[in-house]
Amino acid sequence: MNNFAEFLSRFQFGFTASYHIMFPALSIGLSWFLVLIHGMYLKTGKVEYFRIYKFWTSIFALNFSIGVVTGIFMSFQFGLNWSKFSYAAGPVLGSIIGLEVMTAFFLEAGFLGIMLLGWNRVNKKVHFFATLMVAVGTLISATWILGANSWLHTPAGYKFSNGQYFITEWWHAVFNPSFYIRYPHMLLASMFASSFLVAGISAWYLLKNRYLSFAKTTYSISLAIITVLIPVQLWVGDTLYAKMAVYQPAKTEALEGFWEDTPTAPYLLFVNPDFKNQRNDVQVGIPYMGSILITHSLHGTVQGLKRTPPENQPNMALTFYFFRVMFLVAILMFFTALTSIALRFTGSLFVKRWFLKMSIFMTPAGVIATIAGWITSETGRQPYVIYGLLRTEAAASSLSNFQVVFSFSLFLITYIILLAAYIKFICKIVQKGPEEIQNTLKTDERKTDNFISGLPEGIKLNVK
Amino acid sequence: MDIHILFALVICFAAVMYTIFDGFDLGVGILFPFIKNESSRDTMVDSITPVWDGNETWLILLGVGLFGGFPKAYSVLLPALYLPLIVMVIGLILRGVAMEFRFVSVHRKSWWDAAFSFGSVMAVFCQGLVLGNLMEGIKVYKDIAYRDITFNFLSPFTILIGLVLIVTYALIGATWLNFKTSGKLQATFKRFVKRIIFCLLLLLILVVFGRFYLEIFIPRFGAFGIGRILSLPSIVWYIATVILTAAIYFTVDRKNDILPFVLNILMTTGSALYIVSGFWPYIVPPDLTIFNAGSPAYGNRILLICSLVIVPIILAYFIYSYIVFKGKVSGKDNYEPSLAESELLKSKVKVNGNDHAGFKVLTMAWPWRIAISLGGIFFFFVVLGFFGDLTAQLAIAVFIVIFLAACFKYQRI
Repeated sequence: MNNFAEFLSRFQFGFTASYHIMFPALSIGLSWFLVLIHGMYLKTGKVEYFRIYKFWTSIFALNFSIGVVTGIFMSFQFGLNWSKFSYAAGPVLGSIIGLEVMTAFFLEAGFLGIMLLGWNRVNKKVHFFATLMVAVGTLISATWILGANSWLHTPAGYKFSNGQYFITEWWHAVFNPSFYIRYPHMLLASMFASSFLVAGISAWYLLKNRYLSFAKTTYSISLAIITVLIPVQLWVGDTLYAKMAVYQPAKTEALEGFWEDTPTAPYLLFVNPDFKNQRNDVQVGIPYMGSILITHSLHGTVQGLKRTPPENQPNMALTFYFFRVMFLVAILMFFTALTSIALRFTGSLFVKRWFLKMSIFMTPAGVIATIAGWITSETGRQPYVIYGLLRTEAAASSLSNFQVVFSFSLFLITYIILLAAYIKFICKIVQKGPEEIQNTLKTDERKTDNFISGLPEGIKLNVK
Repeated sequence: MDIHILFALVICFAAVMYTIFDGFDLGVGILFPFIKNESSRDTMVDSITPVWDGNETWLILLGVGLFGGFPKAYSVLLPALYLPLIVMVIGLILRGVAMEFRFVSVHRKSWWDAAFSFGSVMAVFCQGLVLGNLMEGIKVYKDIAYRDITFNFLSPFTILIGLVLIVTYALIGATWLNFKTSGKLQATFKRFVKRIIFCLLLLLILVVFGRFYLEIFIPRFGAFGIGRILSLPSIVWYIATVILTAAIYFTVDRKNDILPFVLNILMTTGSALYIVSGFWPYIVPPDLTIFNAGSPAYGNRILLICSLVIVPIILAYFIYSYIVFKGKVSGKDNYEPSLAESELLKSKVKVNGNDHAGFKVLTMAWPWRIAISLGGIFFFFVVLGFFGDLTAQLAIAVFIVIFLAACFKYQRI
C-alpha cells in the first residue's frame, strides 16, 4: 500500500471538492434570486429590476463557468485517485450521477446561453423560462448529487456481489435515510451563500453612496431572504445532528470534542485532542451550553468518542474545528438577521453604518459555513468512504507518489490563481457598478463597422 | 438487444457528440494564436460563448457513463492514464475560465488569451494521448511497481494521435468559424481550412502507413485493427475521408457557408465510428471487453431507459438554443441585454429621494432593537432546545408569517 500517495489523494479530493462546492452553492442561490428578480420585472415592468438582473447575471456567469469546469474534474476524480472505490460503487454512484448529467447538466447548459446572452434574441417570457430552467436545473442537480453523497453516508437499497454494489431499489437508494434532511440543509446553505454575497455588495454601494435605489432593493430582498430562512436552517441543522447521532454516532461524538461520556457538559471551544492516549490535553468551554445544545436539557449526557473503537474513529481535530466554524458563523448570521428585523421596521436599515459594515464583513459567511459544513460531514465519516462498508484506505488507486504530487501541486497553483482572479473580477464588476439604463439603450451607432456587425461584404448598414 | 451493447452505444453516442461539438470550440482555441487582431479574437470567442458549456457536458456524460456502465473499465483506464487526464482537465479548466475572464479583464487580457489557447491545445493533445493509448491497448497490471507505468502513456504512436486530434479539431474549428464569421476574418478562415486539410491528410497517411510499416509507430500491444489495412471498413473509411476532405476543400470557397461545416461533421462522425467499430468488442483492449467490464444491474437499466427518453429531449432544446443563436456573430454588443426605448418610456424611473414615502415607520429606541436581537436568539434556542420539534416548527412558521406580513405593511421587500 502506498501510503503517501493515498494520503495526498485525500487532500487533493478535499481541496478540489471544497473549492468546487463554493461555486455551485453560489449558483443555486443566485439562479433563484435571478428568477425572483426576473419575475418581478415581468410583473412590474420596472427598469430597476432589469438593471439588477443585468448586473447580477454578469457575476452569475463568471461563477457558473468556474463551477462547470471544476465540476468536470469531480466526475473523473473518482476513477483517477479512487479506482477501487469507483469499481465497487460505480454501478450505484455512476447511475445516480449519470442521471444528474442527463436531467440537470444538459438542462442548465442548454438554457444558460439563452439566459446569459439571449436577452435581445428571444422575448421576455421565453427569457424568463430560460432563467427558470437554469434554476430548476441547479435544483435537480443538487437533488441527485446529494442523493449520491447521502448514499455514501447511509447506504440503502443495494446488494453486494462480486465486490461490487448494485442498486436493487432505485428510490430507496437515492432517497436514502439521510437524504431527506441533508438535502434541505444544503439548499438553504446555498441560499445563504448567495444572499450574503448580494447583501454584502449592496451594503458596499450604500456605504459608498452609489446606485442607491439599486442597492436598497437588493439589500432589502437579500436580508429578507436571510431573515426568513435562518431559523429554518438552524432547525434543519439541529434535526440533521439528531439523525447523524443515530446513523453515524462516531461523527457526532468526534465533533463535540469529548472522549468520555460527559453529563452536564460544557460547550467546548478549544480542544487539543491526543489520539494516542484518547484524551484532550487542554479543553476550554462554556459551562452547561453543551448539554443544552446537544441533548436539549441542562444535565444531559454528551457521548464521548471512546465509545467508538480507535480504528474506527474519525480525526477529532478536523471534525471539531470545522463544525465550530460552521456553527459560530451560523450564530453570526442569526444575529445579522435579527438585527436587520429591528432596523428594518424602524426605518434605519439603509442608514446604520455599523450594520452596513457588518454586512460587508459577512459577505463570505455563507460560503465559509457551507465549506466548513461539508468538511465536517466528510471527515466525520472517516475512516469509511461508504459508511460501514468500504474503508477509505482500501479505496485508493495504485498511484506513484510522483503522479499525485504532480497533480496536487498543479491543482493547487491553478485553483489559487483562479480564485484570486475570480475575486478580483468580482471586485472589478462591483467597482464598475450596474450601468445606467440610458447607456444600454439599443442604438445602431456602435455598429458602424461592417466587419463587426457580421453582415456579408457589400451590404451597408443604414446608420441613422 | 443486450444491455451491454445498448449501454456501449449510449457511450459511443456521447463520445461522437463530444468530438463534434467540443471539437469546434476547442478548435477555436487552437486557431486563436494565429489571429492577432483583438476584435477578431472577440468575434471568435463570441461564436462559442453561448454553447461551449453544453458541449463540454458531453464529456461529463462520457466519463460518468463509463463510471456507471463499465466501472471496471473506468477503474482501470483512469489511473493508467493519470497524468494525461489530469493535464486535460487542467487544460479544460483554464480555457473555460479564461473565456469568461478575458471579457472582464482589461490589463491582462493577453494573458487570458494565452491561457485560453494553451488550455485548448493541452486538452486536445491529452485527449489524443488517451485515444492513442486506447488504440494501443492498456494492460491490466496486477503486481508491478507503480513508477514503471507512470510514463507508459507516452509512445511515438500516441503522440502522433495527439497531433492528429489537434489538427482534426482545428479543422472543425476553422469550418465552424467560416460558417459563423464574415468579411475579412471569414476569408482568413477559408485559407486556414485549405492549409489544415493538407496537414491532416499528411498526418493521416503517416498514421495509416506508419502503423504497419514504420517501426516506431507500430502500436505496442497491437490491439487495434492490425492486419486490417485492406479490410472492407478500412477501405470504406479511406475513400470516404478522401472524398469528404476534397469536398470540403472545394466547397469552402462557395457562397454556402454551412456546407463545409456539415461535411466536416460527416467526416468526423465517420472517422469516430470507424475508430469505435475498430474496438469491438473491446472497451479497453487487450483485456476488457464490454461484456466483462459491464455491470448488468437494475440501476443501470433505469439509467439506460432514462437516457433513451431524455437524450432526444436534450437534443431538442440544444437545437432550439442553436437556433436562437443562429446567424453570423456580430460582436459582444449583440449579447448585452438591453431595453427597447418603448419599454423605458413605459416605466418611468422614480427620482424620489424618500424611499419610505407611503410606508409607516415604527420608532424604536436602540435598547429596544438590541433587546429584539438578543431576545430573539435566546427565545429561539429556548424553543428549539427544550420544547421539541413541533413547537419549534410552529414557532418558526409563526415568525415567518409575522415577518412577511410586517414587511408588506411597513416596508417594501
